[in-house]
Amino acid sequence: MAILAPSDSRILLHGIANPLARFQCAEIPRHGTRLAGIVAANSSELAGWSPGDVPVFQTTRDAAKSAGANLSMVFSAPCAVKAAVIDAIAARVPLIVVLTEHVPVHDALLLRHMARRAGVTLIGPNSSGLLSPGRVKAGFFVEDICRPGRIGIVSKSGSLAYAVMAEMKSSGLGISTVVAIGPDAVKGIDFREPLSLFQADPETDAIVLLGEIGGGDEENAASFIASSITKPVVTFISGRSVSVGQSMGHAHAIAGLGRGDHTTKVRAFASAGVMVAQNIGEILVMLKALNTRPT
Amino acid sequence: MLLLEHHGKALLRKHGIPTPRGVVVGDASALVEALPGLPERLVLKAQIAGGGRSKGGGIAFATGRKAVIDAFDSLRGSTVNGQAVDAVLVEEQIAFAHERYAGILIEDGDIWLLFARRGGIDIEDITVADASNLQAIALDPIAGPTDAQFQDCFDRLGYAPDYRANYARIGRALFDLSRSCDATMVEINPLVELAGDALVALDARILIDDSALDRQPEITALQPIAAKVGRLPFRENPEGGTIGLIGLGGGLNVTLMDWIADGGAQVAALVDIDDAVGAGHAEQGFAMALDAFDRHPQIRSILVNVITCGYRLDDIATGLVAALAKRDASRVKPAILHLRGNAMAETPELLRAAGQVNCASLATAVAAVLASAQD
Repeated sequence: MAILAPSDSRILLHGIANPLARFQCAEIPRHGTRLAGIVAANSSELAGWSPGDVPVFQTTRDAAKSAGANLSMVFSAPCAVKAAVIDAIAARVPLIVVLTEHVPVHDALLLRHMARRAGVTLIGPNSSGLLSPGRVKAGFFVEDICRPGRIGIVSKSGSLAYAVMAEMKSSGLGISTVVAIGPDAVKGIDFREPLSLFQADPETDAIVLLGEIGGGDEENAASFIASSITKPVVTFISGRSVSVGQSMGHAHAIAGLGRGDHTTKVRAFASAGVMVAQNIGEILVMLKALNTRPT
Repeated sequence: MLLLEHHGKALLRKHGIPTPRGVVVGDASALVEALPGLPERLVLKAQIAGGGRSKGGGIAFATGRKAVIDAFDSLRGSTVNGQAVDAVLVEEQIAFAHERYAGILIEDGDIWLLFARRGGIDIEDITVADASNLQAIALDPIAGPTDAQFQDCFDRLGYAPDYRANYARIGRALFDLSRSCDATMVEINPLVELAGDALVALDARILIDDSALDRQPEITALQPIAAKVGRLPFRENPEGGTIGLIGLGGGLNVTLMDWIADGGAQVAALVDIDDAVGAGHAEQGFAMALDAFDRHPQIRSILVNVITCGYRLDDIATGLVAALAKRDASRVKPAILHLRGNAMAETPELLRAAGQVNCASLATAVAAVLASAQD
């Protein structure tokens, strides 16, 4: 099993003017995942590039209807993300992954709210997407740096997840699914949804949670793990050596009391009985001690 | 982007929130010209970004022409909290009955409207001692605050009935301002109660979302953003260090800074190469970063760590090899490389042909750069 995106996912790409999206036109099929089409309202988005035999649709609605697309990957420019995601929600695409960074916060807030109301799973913005090796790729993650296995990874940061996957591969440890929820303050799903899905996934034996300083996602995840997760969880929080920036106002200080810095996050996980690694090397040691099945 | 107080107050007024009468002046002649239109009792406030002005000596009260001019002369050109004072907001003094607080904040995926029973410069300490001092209303990001939410909030804070309509008006105005101006934080501290039912914002702190500045040209024009030096995200560690880090991706860069700190050293400066790679200028990006680190007086060793999925590693490695070859031999510092990722197969040969060694793991790379920085 893979969490979030099934093996038979049919992917739509939005924002094809972005070179990262064009690269994915080759990468997604290379991983055996079906690319259902590209949404380009304006042909100028394709300027200087040929989509080959990938169908191009003017609207998400057309793509969802005629190509059976059920997963949108959004690479649109930051201020165009809102319109692309609203269209995908309206077309009832059940899973939307936004890879664009620097999306305006108020747009992210609106999209998070609309997705929840519509029952759509929104990952990101500023997500690196997800990968279930051998099954489905819906993001930047590639199989080159990992191997299939029974450990699930949920991370805020894509780059940190890449490093952990690569080091795990070198140590003979494989993953079931890796998903990056994105580091932004406002995003679609947070740590809790993947944790819950990994808990229910019979092919995931243990979970790695990669957090970072700032915000309250890690503290929320710690409470959720204490109440709802019985599988072993190894966490790592980056930013221990980074001093928390000067508060921009009283609002953050008084609304975020007791949350956000490295110490409070580590304390929250420790209180929830979660293993907290001090570095990437310790993550591997802890995972090996769990003795999970290889595949 | 954090707005200066007088820019923030202009936005408050635009949204119907009263502020004291006042003018912003940058020199004494402008002040003298403005004085006839102002009352006798004035407050002078240094216009600098950031808080703590009151405790930092950036606010002065003065009555009468001579005292006001003297206070202005003391403030203008001084340094408050490390920032030069180029402009001073001169406002009428307001006699008030109570200092409150109102704000709006986006945090943890939600938008919150905040009111406090007691505002002012000690609000954080007051709220630590008494959590009921602050009430946070979770807002529907489309509909905004409701009457029932206001009523419940004001009941908890004990706001007097006469003022409640104006508090609600300000709450709605803050929500509208936040959305229309892409503000992620708006703070009025203090918001004061005058006799009758009037409320006045004595201060304003507004944070605009940097990602939305392109669609906020009027706000961006208020405070031109300093040009990025060399268009490269270069972060210097104010505490110093001996290692230069060129990485790709914030989460991993921070993890490496932790790892290096655990090893007893510090990253002196960091360059995230992501923007340069994304723009197709990997070679130029590496060249600028390597040159900056080679010239850096404290840096003794450089770690180049790239683990990529969204880009082709061989493209990045080609740029890196070219940049390494063009360094000024007279000041080259040791560079430890760790490259992994998509299209990995071509990369080892590229590096080998260039006489470069690719570390087998992150742990190996960190150990190598720590050892190299100690030599």
